[in-house]
Amino acid sequence: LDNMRTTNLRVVAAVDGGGAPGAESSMLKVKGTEIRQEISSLARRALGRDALPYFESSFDATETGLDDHATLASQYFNNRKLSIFGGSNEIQKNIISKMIIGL
Amino acid sequence: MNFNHTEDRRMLSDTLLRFIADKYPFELRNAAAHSARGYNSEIWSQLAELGVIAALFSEDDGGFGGAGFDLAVVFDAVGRGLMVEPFLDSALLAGGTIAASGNEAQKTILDGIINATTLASFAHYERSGRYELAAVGTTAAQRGGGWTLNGTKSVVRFAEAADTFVMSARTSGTARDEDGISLFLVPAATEGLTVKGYTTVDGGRAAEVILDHVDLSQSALLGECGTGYPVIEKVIGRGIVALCAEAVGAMEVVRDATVEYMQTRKQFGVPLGKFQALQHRMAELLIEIEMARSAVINAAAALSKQRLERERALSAAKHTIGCIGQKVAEEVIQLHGGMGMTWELPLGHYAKRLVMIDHELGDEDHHLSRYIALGQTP
Repeated sequence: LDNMRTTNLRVVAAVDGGGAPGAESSMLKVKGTEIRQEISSLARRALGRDALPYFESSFDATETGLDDHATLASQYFNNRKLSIFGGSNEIQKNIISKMIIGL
Repeated sequence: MNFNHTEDRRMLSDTLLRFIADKYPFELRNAAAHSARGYNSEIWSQLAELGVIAALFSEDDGGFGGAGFDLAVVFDAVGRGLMVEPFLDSALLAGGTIAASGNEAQKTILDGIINATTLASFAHYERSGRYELAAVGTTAAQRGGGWTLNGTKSVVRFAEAADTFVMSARTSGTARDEDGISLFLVPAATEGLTVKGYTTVDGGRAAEVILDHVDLSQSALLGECGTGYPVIEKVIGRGIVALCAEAVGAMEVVRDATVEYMQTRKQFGVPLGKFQALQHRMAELLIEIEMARSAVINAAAALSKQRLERERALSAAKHTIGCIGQKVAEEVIQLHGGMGMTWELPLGHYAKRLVMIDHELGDEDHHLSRYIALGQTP
């Protein structure tokens, strides 16, 4: 996460100087979404069997006393979209390769 | 070595797969998963008529199978059909516990379970127990000629529709002792039971089952007082074989769906499968799925072995399936792109089940630790 934060700042700083981001923004997209998905996965796994109940929102879970982590599993599944939309991570890797390897 | 199923098992598999193809379309599955009972009771009855539930029990217990590979064959089909019916909870876990520890009178309930007229639910897990089998805080105190139970059982599948619960409760010892756990048959209508239900993320219904001074007669005790742990371990071991087989069945369905997608979906003017990067990823999935199938074979074969060898093989298999199941689920969604995120495509639902299988009966981390611990000389 710390590495990601610094990489973000480096890209912003480079653009701030008047440049246009090249492959760097694609790198941010790939790595950022992977990290976000991994965090979602870890949160889900940490719950153990308690991840199974499904609620539309935390509020719906208060009756059963499960509100404090009600939607972590569904958030994990919803976050699978991060690596797909906004230009899939595969496309981002194409962009990075093309700009740098150039073949 | 012979890796082919027996003739009987091949017939069982064919019967079940044909049933799924003819009678269990995906729309029916989803409707069942989101129904009040969490499964389709008409389908469950038809499955009973086919003898599929009986295949999970030995002849002594009123079935005709019950061996590791019988479980594997049935649950492979359950995985392929993404079935939400109570094969695991009512038949294997609840029924299996009664078969292993019940007396003659108590075992009469097995007939009902096998012919689908009785729905039993296995209530053992408690909140924050992680996957420790001995984490039982629900208490059972002797009261006059019977027992009084207090506590809460968590994420109990089919609790709302259940006719009876097979429940663990502590009669002696402290919270995580293996000794002092007892097993009870608790009819659903017993006073003092509160069931708070919800849908589960992979389809079906479960509930928190709260016990407030639940009085049971002496005859509710299954087996000997305080000796429930070995029974629980053995029954859950069978559950592990079942879940691993179910997972591989599901993996093969999503694998085949993805292969077809790679062959037909075009982007940039060519089928996706023409891109080498994707071909390699597909090849990796194929390799992992073969390893997963081998893990199921190892687990099924291990059920007849001595405890240490058996439990190591079961933990190895569950760990393997946990790792590979999640990887397959994530990859097949990614390879399908935006389509993979839609409700209409069965693929996403299979992927959800694959991931959530790792949340049942011990996840990949729990079983890796257990595998290591079991391998260390005392």
